[in-house]
Amino acid sequence: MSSTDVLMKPLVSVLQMLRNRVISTEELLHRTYTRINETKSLNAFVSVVEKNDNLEFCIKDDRSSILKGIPFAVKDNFSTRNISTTCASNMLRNYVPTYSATVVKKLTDAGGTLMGKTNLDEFAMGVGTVDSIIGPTRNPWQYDFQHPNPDDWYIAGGSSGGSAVAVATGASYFALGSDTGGSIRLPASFCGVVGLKPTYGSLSRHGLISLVNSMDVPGILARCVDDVVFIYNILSGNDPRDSTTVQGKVEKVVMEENPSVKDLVVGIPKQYYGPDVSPEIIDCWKWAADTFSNNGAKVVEVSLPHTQYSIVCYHVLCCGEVASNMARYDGLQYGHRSDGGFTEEMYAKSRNEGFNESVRGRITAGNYFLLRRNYRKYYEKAQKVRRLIQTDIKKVFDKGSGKNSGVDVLLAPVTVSTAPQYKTFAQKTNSYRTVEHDIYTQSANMAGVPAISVPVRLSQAKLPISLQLLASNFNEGTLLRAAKFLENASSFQHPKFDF
Amino acid sequence: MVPSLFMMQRCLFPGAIGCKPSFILVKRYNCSSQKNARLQDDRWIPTVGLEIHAQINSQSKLFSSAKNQFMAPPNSLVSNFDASIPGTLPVINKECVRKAVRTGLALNCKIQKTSFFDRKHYFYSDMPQGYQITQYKHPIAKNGYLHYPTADGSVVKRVKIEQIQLEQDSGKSMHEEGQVTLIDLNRAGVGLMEIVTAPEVSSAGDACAFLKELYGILMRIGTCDGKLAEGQFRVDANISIAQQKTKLGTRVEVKNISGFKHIHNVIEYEIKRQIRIVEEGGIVESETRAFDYETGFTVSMRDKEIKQDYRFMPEPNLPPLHVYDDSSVTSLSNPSSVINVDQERRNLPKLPADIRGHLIESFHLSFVEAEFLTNRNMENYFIEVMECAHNLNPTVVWNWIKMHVIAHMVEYNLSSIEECYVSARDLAALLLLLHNNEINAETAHLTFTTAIQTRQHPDKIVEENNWKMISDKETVTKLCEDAIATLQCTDAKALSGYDADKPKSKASKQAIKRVIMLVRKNTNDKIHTGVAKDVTMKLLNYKRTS
Repeated sequence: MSSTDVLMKPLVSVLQMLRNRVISTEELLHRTYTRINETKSLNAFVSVVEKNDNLEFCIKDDRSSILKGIPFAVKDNFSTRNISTTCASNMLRNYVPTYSATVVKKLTDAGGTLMGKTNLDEFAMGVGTVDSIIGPTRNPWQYDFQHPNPDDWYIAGGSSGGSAVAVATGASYFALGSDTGGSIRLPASFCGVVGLKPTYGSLSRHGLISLVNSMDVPGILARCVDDVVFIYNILSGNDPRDSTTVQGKVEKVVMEENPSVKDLVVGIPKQYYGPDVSPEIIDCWKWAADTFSNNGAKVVEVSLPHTQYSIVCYHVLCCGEVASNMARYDGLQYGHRSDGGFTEEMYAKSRNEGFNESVRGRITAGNYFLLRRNYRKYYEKAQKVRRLIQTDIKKVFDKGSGKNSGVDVLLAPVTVSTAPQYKTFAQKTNSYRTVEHDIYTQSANMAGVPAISVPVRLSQAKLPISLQLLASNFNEGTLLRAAKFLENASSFQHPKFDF
Repeated sequence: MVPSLFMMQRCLFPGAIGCKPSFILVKRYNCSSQKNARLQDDRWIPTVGLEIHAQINSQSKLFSSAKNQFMAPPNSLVSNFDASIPGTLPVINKECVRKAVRTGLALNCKIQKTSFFDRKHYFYSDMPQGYQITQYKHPIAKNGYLHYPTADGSVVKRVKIEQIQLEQDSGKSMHEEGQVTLIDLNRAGVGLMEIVTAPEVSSAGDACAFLKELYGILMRIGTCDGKLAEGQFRVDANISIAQQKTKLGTRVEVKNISGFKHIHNVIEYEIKRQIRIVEEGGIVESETRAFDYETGFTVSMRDKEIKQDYRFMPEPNLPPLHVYDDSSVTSLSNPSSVINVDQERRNLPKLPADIRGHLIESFHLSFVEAEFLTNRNMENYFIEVMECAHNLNPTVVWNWIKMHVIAHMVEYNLSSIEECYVSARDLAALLLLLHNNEINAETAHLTFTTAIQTRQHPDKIVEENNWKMISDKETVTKLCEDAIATLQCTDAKALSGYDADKPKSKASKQAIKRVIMLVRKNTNDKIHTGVAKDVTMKLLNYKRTS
């Protein structure tokens, strides 16, 4: 890898290079394909778009477009026209959509080049990107590219692990992920990239294959906050095809070079201090709080009393919606279909063969929670708890309603630890892992508020430590400003991986 | 993108719609042959609740832009959403909401300013999502009622409307011979209004009377096309029997009945079946049954062991559905983009009951006559005819509309009066000619058909064809006198049989006939025979007495 790796440059400066013809789009694509090849052993991509198809496209492409052929990657649960969309599941192994998700279409319309579809946990159910039909995705950090050890590597985090790895290694300038309980922020933090989960409704879900409709949000992974801002401004806004998107206009985020945080109140949620959090992360968190404070921000401790119920509540709501959303996969119109038998037999067999154990487990649990006799006890109760969690967060951001309020951003860990090793991680069940790793990320999905994971420093084991910022609904401007400040203040540097 | 037909193995659900449940033993309860059946039945009070699935006649489907149309090639009207292609989301069709609101208003419901959608889960091959989007807990309209006249119009009864909910229709499964089921998703996702009544109807006759009134209203307000053969108005009936009015018996649901006659038969059959079971010491089981159109029986549909739990949950992809009123609409930046309930109320046409009332009161038509015109949207035509010619007898006009105008429309399959080229004004002119004896009934009919063909005014047709009859009294008297005189000279016997005391005797009639025949001959058939007959009788009477 050359010392001035163009593939690792910020989007804005590469666009400048393309504009000034320092480098051509073709050259950029050639290099990206080479990079995808070099990093193949990480298993970041489920499928890669044929090189010739993309070259043809970029030659035809108008150079005056916004993205000028910039390569990007998309998690394989976004529908892409004429490109297989598997959800890393046997169920959709051979499924090719006839339409593209709104967010994908916006990027290609803006002149971006789709390089491929990235790996995930089946139907985005997981936190490791290990439960996939193509096998697990590996974290490039501390990975021995020359002599890869089949067991000794760190997980990428999930479920958008493929997208995080593609961005971390320069195989894409940015990537789309989806975040239902932390699926963007967690892999972003493990792989040392920036991961934005926007406000629910600010980006269209049309074409995103549903996990939990009321919490799913398409989001952006990139190597710096500026790149995230650039892509967010392309993607945000109302979509008539998604009735839950924001009505009216979304303001574009404008970012300064060195944003000030003097006017900000930064909240530290006290319930997030837990005995399970690694001391390195606590230390980093304290440093960040001090840094905000030292630069004029008012740092206050706040309380989110219902946080502790978030995991259980999430589990019930998630399983319920999963059971419902997965009902369409009966093998009739599309997807995996088993031979023979009568209708119900065929359904059962197709679904049994099509879904992995984790998906089947959530379907079973969800159907149980939704039974008439259980609905009040589980699903309805979980909805009520969700409202309490929402209220907690809303109150914290609410200006002028007492003591525990008026915060602009919340500063918190993303997760309890840095990326675990595969051999440790693989010993635990999928649901246990979710409980362990989504603990700090889920609340944002419950409340719909925007949140971002920003890499801050390296741990002793030379793994990225990231922190999370949250803001109130549709307040991406403030969130990204605080993120950029944190990024500027931190010592984190993208590494030169030894491919 | 969607293959023309999805094929699958034959479905196993016993008695699923379309499957002949040949393996289910059917015991027929033939009550009509039982002595004292009537007496026994009277001890039981039947209770019927109805759920009506009325297809909304919107251009496109409830949540997708695919067209809503009957008889298109299989799977040609299927959007990605209708086929439950992953990643697609529902988008509410405002036209369907408007029509549900109109229906709610016409049925005196409280329109809910905010309503919600739910998912109702069950696996069926023609329901690709694995669930139906419906309004289970918070429907768009609640707590209405409908007054309906019984079949003869003698009594007006009232039924409570529990709710009206918007929901998706399913596709269609066609169970072919051999082990294959074909699926057509053209209907999948078409908007339905499910109208739910309280269990307050107590006979098959009343149920049908209510349904006919409801049907008439939906037609009138234009929210459902109501083509029964196309399944646009389907009924589920919940039927139970009890000995006291206060206590309801175990209810049996019969699903998916189309056609008023069938509904009547189903309810009658089911009431009798349940009475028979109880009187034989059995217990009526709570179950869902289907109506077999061929045998006229109801048969058990679902295995009791797999009783459905629909696992309802809120539909997360649709925000709450808001409708507005005059006061709340003003706060919106774009009021024309929403549904204003007050505006819809103002736009409602006159409903059938009011129209019938007007016809009965102002024109003294019978209930049946008024109903006939109302059901066919012919009341304005009738009223216009009456306004053009006040002295016409309303019943004569009604009769003419029924026997000629509507008969013509039915024969040529015309959907509206505009397609029949005889305007109310023209018909009035024609009926005046008849009324004034200028033409006879036969000529009137000929004039009517000519008017349809040539689109000419009846007066002009009669004049051009020289069809006007000699009916003015003086001329007719003169002509008849001449004829009598001629006959008396040439054939004295001809009139000798006339008996003034017995003008209706055979001989009298014969005499009159001779006179008329001669007058017809003398006038080239232009004589109005009715007038001539009266005149001849008077003349002959006079001759005898003088």
